[in-house]
Order: sequence, then C-alpha cells, then structure tokens
Amino acid sequence: MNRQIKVLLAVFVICLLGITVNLAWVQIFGAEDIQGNAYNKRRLIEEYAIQRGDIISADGQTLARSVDSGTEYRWQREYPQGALFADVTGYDSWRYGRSGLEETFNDELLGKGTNLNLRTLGNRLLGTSKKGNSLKLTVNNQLQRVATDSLGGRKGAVVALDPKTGAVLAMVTHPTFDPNVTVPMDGRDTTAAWEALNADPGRPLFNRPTSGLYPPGSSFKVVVAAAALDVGVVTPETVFDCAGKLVVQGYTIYDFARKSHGDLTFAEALVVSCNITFAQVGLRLGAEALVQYAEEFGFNKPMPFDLPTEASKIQSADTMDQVALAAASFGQGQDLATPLQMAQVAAAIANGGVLLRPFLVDEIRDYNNKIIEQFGPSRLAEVVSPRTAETLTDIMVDVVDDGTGTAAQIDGVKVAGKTGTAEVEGQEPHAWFICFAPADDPVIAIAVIVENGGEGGRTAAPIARDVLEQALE
Amino acid sequence: MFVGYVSVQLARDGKVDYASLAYPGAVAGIFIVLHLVMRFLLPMADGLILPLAAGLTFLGMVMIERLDPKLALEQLLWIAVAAAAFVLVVLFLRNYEILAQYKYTLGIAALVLLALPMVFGTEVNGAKLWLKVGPMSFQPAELAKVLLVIFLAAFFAEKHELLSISTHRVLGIPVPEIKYFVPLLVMWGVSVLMMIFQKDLGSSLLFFGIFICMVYAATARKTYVLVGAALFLLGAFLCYLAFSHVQVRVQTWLNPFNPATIQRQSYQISQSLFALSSGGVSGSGLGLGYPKLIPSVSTDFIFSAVGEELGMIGAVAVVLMYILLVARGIKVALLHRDDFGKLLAVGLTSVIALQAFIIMGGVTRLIPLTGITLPFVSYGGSSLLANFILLALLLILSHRGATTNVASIRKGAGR
Repeated sequence: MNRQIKVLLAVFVICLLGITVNLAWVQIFGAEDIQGNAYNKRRLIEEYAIQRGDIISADGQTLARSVDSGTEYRWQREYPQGALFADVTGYDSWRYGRSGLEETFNDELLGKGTNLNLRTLGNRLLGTSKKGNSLKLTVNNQLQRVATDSLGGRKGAVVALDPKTGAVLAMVTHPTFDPNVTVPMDGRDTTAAWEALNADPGRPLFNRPTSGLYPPGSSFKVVVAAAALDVGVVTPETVFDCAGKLVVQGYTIYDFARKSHGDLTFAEALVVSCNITFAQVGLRLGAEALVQYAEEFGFNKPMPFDLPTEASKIQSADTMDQVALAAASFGQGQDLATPLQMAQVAAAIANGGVLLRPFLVDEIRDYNNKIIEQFGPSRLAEVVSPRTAETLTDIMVDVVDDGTGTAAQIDGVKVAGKTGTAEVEGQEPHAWFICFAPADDPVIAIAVIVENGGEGGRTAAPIARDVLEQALE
Repeated sequence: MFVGYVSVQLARDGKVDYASLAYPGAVAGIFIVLHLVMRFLLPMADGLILPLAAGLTFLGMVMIERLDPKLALEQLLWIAVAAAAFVLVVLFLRNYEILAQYKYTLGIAALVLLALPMVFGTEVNGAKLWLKVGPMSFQPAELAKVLLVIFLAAFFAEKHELLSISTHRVLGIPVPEIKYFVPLLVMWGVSVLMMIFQKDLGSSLLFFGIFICMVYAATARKTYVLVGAALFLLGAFLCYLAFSHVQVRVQTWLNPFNPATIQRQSYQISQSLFALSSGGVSGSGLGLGYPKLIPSVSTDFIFSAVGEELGMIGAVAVVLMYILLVARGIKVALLHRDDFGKLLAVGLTSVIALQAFIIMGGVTRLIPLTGITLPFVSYGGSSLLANFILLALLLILSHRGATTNVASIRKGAGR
C-alpha cells in the first residue's frame, strides 16, 4: 500500500507545483498581456487614485481641476470654463479616454514625468506622488473669450501667437464641446450627450486650429511674396501688368471677379491682392523655390506643437506644372493649410523671418506649486532674411491701411495683415485673415478663418481686430 | 501575523489601532492552546502539521481583515468554534478505530448531509450548497467530506483485498469482477447528482477525486483509476452537453477575456487574472492592491488576493505550505501500520491536496474554475470546522502511528 501512497504524493506535488508554474506565467511572463486588457479596471483605478494636476491659464484661471468623486475612480476632472478651452485642454475621462493636453501631457499631469530630478525624487520618496503636476499655459482667458465671442458662433478658428516666443495666446475653434460631458458621474448620465457630439455633422470634437485643412486663398500670397522677395526675383517696386486674365499653357486664369488691375507694382499687387500678378511672380520664382519656402514655413510636415497637428500641404515641385504653379501662387492650387500654420506664417514675418516652435504649456509645477519645468522660445527655421521680413511687413501694413484689410485697422497702431478669400466649389468662400501688430514691435500674430464666411477682409479681419484690440490693451 | 495586521492597518488608515491587535492575539492564543492540547494528549504527533495549518489560518485571517474587517470577527469566532471541535475530537476520538465500526452510519450520514441542501437548500452564487438555520448558514458538504473519508477508509480497509482480485482480463488487462465496480458506480452517481442538482462542480470533482485517490491507495488497481477517470469525464461531458452552467465554466476557462462574457460569466475569472497579473513578483503590498474588485474574494478567490498583494513570492509560499502539509500527511499514512489508519490518513490528506489544487488551479486558470474554499485560508465557518476536525484526526493518526503499541485491527494485512 505504501507504494501507491508514494505515487499519490508524487501526483499531488506535481499538481501543486503546476500551480506555481502557472503563477509564473500569469504573474510575470504573461502579466503585461493580461494587464493591458481594456476591461482591467485596475489601471484606471490606479490612475484615478492620483490627484491629477490642474490646468491653469496664463492669467490664473483654472481650466481643468480634479474633484474627489467618492467613486472607485476617485479623482475626476472638472472644467470650470465649460467649452471655452475644450480645444486646448481636451478631456480626461475614464470612459472615453483623453484628448488635447490631457492626453499629450498625461504623464506630467499624473506626476509620472520622466525627468527624475532631486525634487521629483524627493516627492516620490515622501509618498506625495499621489498628486500630479499642474500645467500653467500660455493661453489668456480674456483673449480666448474675446476671440470666441467675436467668432460668434460661426464655424471657424482663431489662433493667436506671441511672435517673439511662439507662445499660443488664444486658440479658438467652433463648433466645440463642453468637456464636462465626457466625465460621467453618479446621477449624471452623459452617454446621450457624448453620442450626440460624435454624431454632430458640425464635428464639435474636431480641433480646427491644429487639424483643419483649408485652402489658404490669398493669405498664402504672404508665403509667395516672402519667397520672391527673399530670392530676389522681385522688389516691391517691380512693375507687373494685370490684364484681368492670364493664359498659362493654354489655360486661362482670371483674377478675382474678373477685374483688371492694369499696371501695378509688386507691393500694390499684394495690397489689392492681385491674382494675375502673383501667378506671374510664382512662374518667375519657380515651383522648386516656392515649395522649398513653403516647407521652411512648416508645410508638408506636422507642425511641432504640444498638441497633435495635421501637416499643411503643398504639392511637390516635380508634380507641379506651370498651371498648378500659377494657381498655387495665389492660394487656389492644391495647397491646404491649418489655421495654426497660417498664424505661424504671420508670426515668422513678425519675428524678423525666424519661425519658432509654437507652444501651449509654459510651466509644469509640482503639487507645492514649485516650477519643475519651464518652456520658452525654440527656433524651428530662419525662413527669410530680416530684411525681407521688414520689407514684407511694410507692404502688409499697407494692406490694412488702404488695401483689402482695412477692417482690421486700429487707431494709433500699425497693423500688418493679409486677407484671404478661398474659393470653395459650390459654396461661399472661406474667409481668411492673418496679421500681426504693432508692426514695428509685434506682440501678437493672428490667423482667423471663417468657414464659408465670404470675403476675408469683410468677415475675418474684424474678428482679428477685436482680438488685437484686447491684446494691445 | 501581527506584522501582517499592522501593515494592513497602516495601508488602510495610516495608523495602528492597538485594540484591534486583539484579533491576531486571540488566534495566536487559540493555536497555543491547541498546541498544548496536542503536546499533552498526542505527544508523538507530527510537529509540523499544526504549525503549517496555523500559518495558513493566520494568513487567511490577515487577508480577511484586509478584505472585509467585519468578516474578520466572524472568522475569529469560527476559528474558536473549530478549535473547540478539534479539542473534542482529540479528547473523544483518540481511539479512532471505533469510527470503523460505525462506517455505514457515517457513510449514510455523509449522503444525508449531501442530500440536505438539494431538498432544503438555498441557492448562493448559482450553487445549492447552503442550509439556512435562522441567521446561520451552513455548508453540509464540508462535513460530509470528512465523514465520507472515514467511511471509505473503513470500507476499503475491510474490502480492499476483495476489490484487488482480478478474475477477468479485458484486452490483456486484469479486471476485477463487475460487482466490485459497484462502489465506484455509486460514488460516480453521487458526484454526477451533485453536479446536476447542486450545480456544485467543485465539490463534485473533490468527492470523486478523494474516492479515486483512496481506491487507488487501497487496491493498487489502475483499472479503477482509469475507469473512474473515464466515467467522470463521461459524466462531465454529458453534463456539459446538457447544462448551460457547465458549458459556461468551460468556455470561461478557455476564453476568460471574451468581450461578450467578460462583464458577466467570465467576470470573476478575468478579475482574478487581472489581480494576479498586477501582483507581479513581489505584489502591491498588503492593503495597497485592489483585490476587492474580485467577487467572493474572501472565500473562493482569497488566493488571488494573496497573489495580488503579496505577489508571486507570497502565492508560491502558500503553495509550498500546502505541499509541506500534504507531504507530512502522506508521511503519517506511510508510518501508520493498520490499513484503516493508513487509508484514513491518505483520504484526509487527499482532501487538503485536492481542495487546494482545485481552487488554486481554478483561480489561476490552470483548470476550469469551480467554487470551493481554500482550506484554512478562506473565510467560512463550515470549511474551518471541517478542516480543523480533519486536522485533529490526522494528528491522532500521527500520534498513534508513531506509538509502538498500535493495535492492529487486521494483522498482516497486505502492505
């Protein structure tokens, strides 16, 4: 009988050891796989056990904060400004995930920042890592409000930058959404509201400033002018003939409203936004130089930014024939630009030809409000010479003084700007305006687009003026 | 255990309430008393068995305090009751041989206990295992398993020679006469009935497993094992075809993360796996994980909580404690001289080994999940009571086996 009993012992031991082998799989080798399962609440519970840091505007308004929900996902987000900064902060929701800065700065907000310096190490050892870091932004609550009000419920976007640093001062999109909708709480079922947001044909969750691709229309002439002046194929005084139409390789290009401008200088052509002149300038410049300059301004790759961005597009030089080149030169080719990209064009001219990296997050502070990381200007490219920038600025001032952009005039301030009216097949054109001010010492550069808003000078320029006025106050 | 208690409280409240250390103090006191009882009444008993059981009980107490402090007091009271039962068994059943004389009474009692909940039981978590008497609920199957082991040990001690005789050969394999398969069939019938009427797959597997272990130990006939295993698989397969709750168990075992079932049928097992996987090597630390996400974590799934908060190190330590306990139990069987005692020790040890394996394997998805308690660790009065009685019997056998003046019931029985 003892032999069988020993066999039984062996079987029992093998079975129990089998459990340890299985444990090694479940707890160590296969653990990552299991933990990554979307239904694993532990990851979420752990994340929401951390008091996520606040997001604060440059002028000290709280844009996002964490409140103790008393549920298993303890710290939940609240957005006191409602929809106003939705495109900046995005949302943080255990149910719907994250967007905006909540997504891109998630680790910092959770206090999981990678730079482990003495202070963060200290915080970790003291067990205060249950509190995240807060973000102080560059956006200004007042400016954002003015820009939103001025856009006034029309579809479109406004981007305002500090041209000397690249700091984003305002970033507005419409239609937008209230990020509080993404945070379901006890007694507040937001499922229907969330589904409505997703089904809305106006795409309120879509971030137009960073991802909306629009034909830039005549605002693109600033890029063409900068290139032409910098290369030297034109001077402000170079005279062109606008007969109201131009035949390129058997294809007739007409000016806006088929108007003829007669003989005019290059500077005058920008002021009145003459398409025929710019078609000729583009042909003189050549596709290669045009594309090269546009790419220096940031086209054809996503703009480096604190939020995800869509790449603005210009056709590659080798596929661009003369007709396409002529059309692209007055912004009606296949080129597409984001509002952020066009604000960057204005900012680069304002900043003496130097393109800076735009940024939204100014400082990261720990739970003691001590700054642990600070961001500042970072140079992306020297697009044109300071001389070119200065020359172009003077012409853009004329655009506002007595050209297409008079609606952006402000008493006692020299405003440099350029309108755009981008034709849309079968619909009203998109209204563009890009500008910066004061022209001799710029503190703000703006891009405004109103979708199907009509003429840029009439629809977009007044919005830019409202924002300028607020900023220059 | 005191360290565990303090660390649970620190994690929960950031401070230690000294008054609540009375719980671990009481459990330690109970085991000191049990140890003294054993030293005086069973001086020759194995010295490792009681400490191993105490270690597992301590661990269970710490985990239950961590999971649900309200249950900790109940567990403490049940430990006291179970300890009292232990002392009574040691006092009155030191001549365990008398149990053999009542084997049929005990066997019938076991069947009655098993049948009770089928008739009067209330259904909890889809299984009909509980008898409710006023505010108390009791799981008769827990006691039944001890009675059944006693019955089987006595029955096989008397009949194992008969059962071992082969009169036929089938395909060259010696096969006993058909009538000797009757006990096997009866046991199989009981198991299948449990599976059908009580929806209790865990106990069904446990009972049949105990039977197979004992019949193998008694007769050395692999035929019984093979036929038994085949019959059980057949029964399980038929039940699988016939009953949705069996199908669910198998499907959740094969595919616990199926999005269609993960919020419902496979919720428990997937939560258990999430808990274990988050534990890693060293665990989250006591009180710092989220084991409460697992339903019935203080009973069937307590091992997952150990794995989450104490990590693989803690979980493997638990497994090793069971291996040691089983090894000591088997040693008791080996050293014993009479067949009844030997088989009784084997049966009692099998109960612990199989039960630990079935539930630990279940919650780690080694085998399909079936709900039974983890001996000594899980919260639950019936389980503690039964296991402490089992422990007392095992220690009596150990003492008697080591004492030279064993009265052998059947001299020269084939060993």
